[in-house]
Amino acid sequence: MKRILEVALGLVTSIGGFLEIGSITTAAQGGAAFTFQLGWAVALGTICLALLLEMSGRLAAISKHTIVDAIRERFGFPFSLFPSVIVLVVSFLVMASELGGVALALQFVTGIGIRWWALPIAAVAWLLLWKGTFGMVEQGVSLLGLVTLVFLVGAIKLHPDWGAVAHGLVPTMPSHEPAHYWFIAVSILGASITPYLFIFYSSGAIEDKWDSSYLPINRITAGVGTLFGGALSLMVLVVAGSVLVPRGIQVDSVEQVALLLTHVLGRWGFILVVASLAIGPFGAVAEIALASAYIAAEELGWNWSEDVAPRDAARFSMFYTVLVFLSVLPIALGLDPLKLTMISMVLTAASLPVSVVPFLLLMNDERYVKEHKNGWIGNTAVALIVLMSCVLAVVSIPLQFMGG
Amino acid sequence: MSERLHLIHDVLDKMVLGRDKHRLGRVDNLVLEIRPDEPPRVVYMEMSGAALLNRLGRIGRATAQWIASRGRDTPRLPFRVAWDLVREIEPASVVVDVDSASSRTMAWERWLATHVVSKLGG
Amino acid sequence: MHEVPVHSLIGTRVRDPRNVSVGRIEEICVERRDNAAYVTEFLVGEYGILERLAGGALARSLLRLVPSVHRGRRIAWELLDLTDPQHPRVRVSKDALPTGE
Repeated sequence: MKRILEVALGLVTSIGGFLEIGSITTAAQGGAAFTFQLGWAVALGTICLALLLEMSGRLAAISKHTIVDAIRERFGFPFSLFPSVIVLVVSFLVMASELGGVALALQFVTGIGIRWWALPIAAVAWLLLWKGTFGMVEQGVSLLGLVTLVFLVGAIKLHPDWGAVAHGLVPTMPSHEPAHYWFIAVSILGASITPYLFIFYSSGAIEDKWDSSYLPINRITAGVGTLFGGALSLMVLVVAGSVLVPRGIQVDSVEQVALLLTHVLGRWGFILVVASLAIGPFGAVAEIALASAYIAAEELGWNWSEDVAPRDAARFSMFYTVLVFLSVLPIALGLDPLKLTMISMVLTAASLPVSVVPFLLLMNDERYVKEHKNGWIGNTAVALIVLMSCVLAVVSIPLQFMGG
Repeated sequence: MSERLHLIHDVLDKMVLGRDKHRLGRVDNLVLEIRPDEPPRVVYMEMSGAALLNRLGRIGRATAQWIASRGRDTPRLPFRVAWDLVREIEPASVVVDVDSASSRTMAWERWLATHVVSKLGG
Repeated sequence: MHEVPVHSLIGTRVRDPRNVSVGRIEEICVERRDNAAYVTEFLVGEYGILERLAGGALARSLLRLVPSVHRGRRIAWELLDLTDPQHPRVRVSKDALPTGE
């Protein structure tokens, strides 16, 4: 019974916690610019993430190591520092963009500018981390994040051409503006496959003391849960494609995302989308801060746990404290949240090979995963992810200037 | 009874736990004693930022030396645990006979806990 | 008697009396006895440019996926002269050293 509840909670967490500012805005931009043509990027990103999450849970359950811990131990310090620093830097930018997303949502509701909201949001996120437990951070906000199901409701009520949606799941060449098309594709992939997610997941599995008996739960939560969450992201694209394309509107501000469902759901459409723009990114701010602290603590051998009092893991707690309040700066200094989101998603895609390659090697090392090594499907899928990431890394930066 | 180990694979970069099984740090470096006509032996494990910096090439070493000699006549050594305090080498950690609550490697942790975290209600 | 940090040995090139390169120190094998750990042998490998480009440990991992590329030597402690740790020298010729791990 306990395990059934854990599976249910894990599924709900995966669904409710999936959408955040990156996935919402990139999917909305994709839908507005290319209707349903970029559905394949959402699907591919979701499948990739599901595979990586399952692997990270499996690594933690069998080896009793988190990803960062195992990389440090297996490959040694000089090498492990490189992916850790890269992921920390990119995650910081993502965290700042998520904070900007929450600030924008609050601006819609109150009319008070986002610069004034940045610090209070950071303070509330910090309080959640300081006083809360791992379960509260992971599950509490995700349960509230079920409000994002409004995109599913909205998509159904819009009666899109589902055949065209299905057709969009197959990669095609763009019908127009190829640079812009590939730039958004890169952004969608970067929004889906963010390294902090699988690092957070493996640390969480250790926090929850997973062992091999959790492997089936891991498969369901990481696999099925993520696929459902990705479907929600697809619904954002469908809604944007259905609402904005006929009106010839491109998404160049988050305000346009907030108004996506007012036509079909009225005032509640606005309220629930704004709530989605606030809750999902807020959860992401807390998770990224925690994931970053996990990276530093595991890399350097500090005490760490979200389930102990901050004084019992002082360096770990102070690390996320400093990070959360530093992330206020980009928004407080006036950086546009949408631009910051797109840049951070592209940089995420560019940095993926750095974290995925050593991860893949670990998943094939019997000393860590014993008989639970990756099969050829998992290896091929991750190898293709790495190859795709390398290609995207090479093209994404010039695309940034041409299409972004 | 003897046990065979590979220093790089089995010890270096592993998590170190004190006798109370709390995390002390990581094996950031190992030090061998080279003796004439006798097998070299492991004398210390080093656990500190300086030990890590020393592994980052010339710039890292120079930085470590600069930090270690600031305000001192002789440079401060990285924190070391004598090898004979090693009790167990487990798959995921090395357990040493050191009290984590009073160990020098936890000095920053204790200072932050006392002077900052506690004041913030943590 | 002198102290040598292990990190300064790893990756250091070992040469034989004819100045032929045997490879780079990759691993140090020890035996634990009575609370002490005594070196028994050094494992030396030949990874060439991959080690420099990819970082030693990652290169070793990548090369373990292609077993035929890996050719290592085992050097007993008494055969390795560590008087100058930056330039370790083996006391016998390379061909006299056993291979494998």
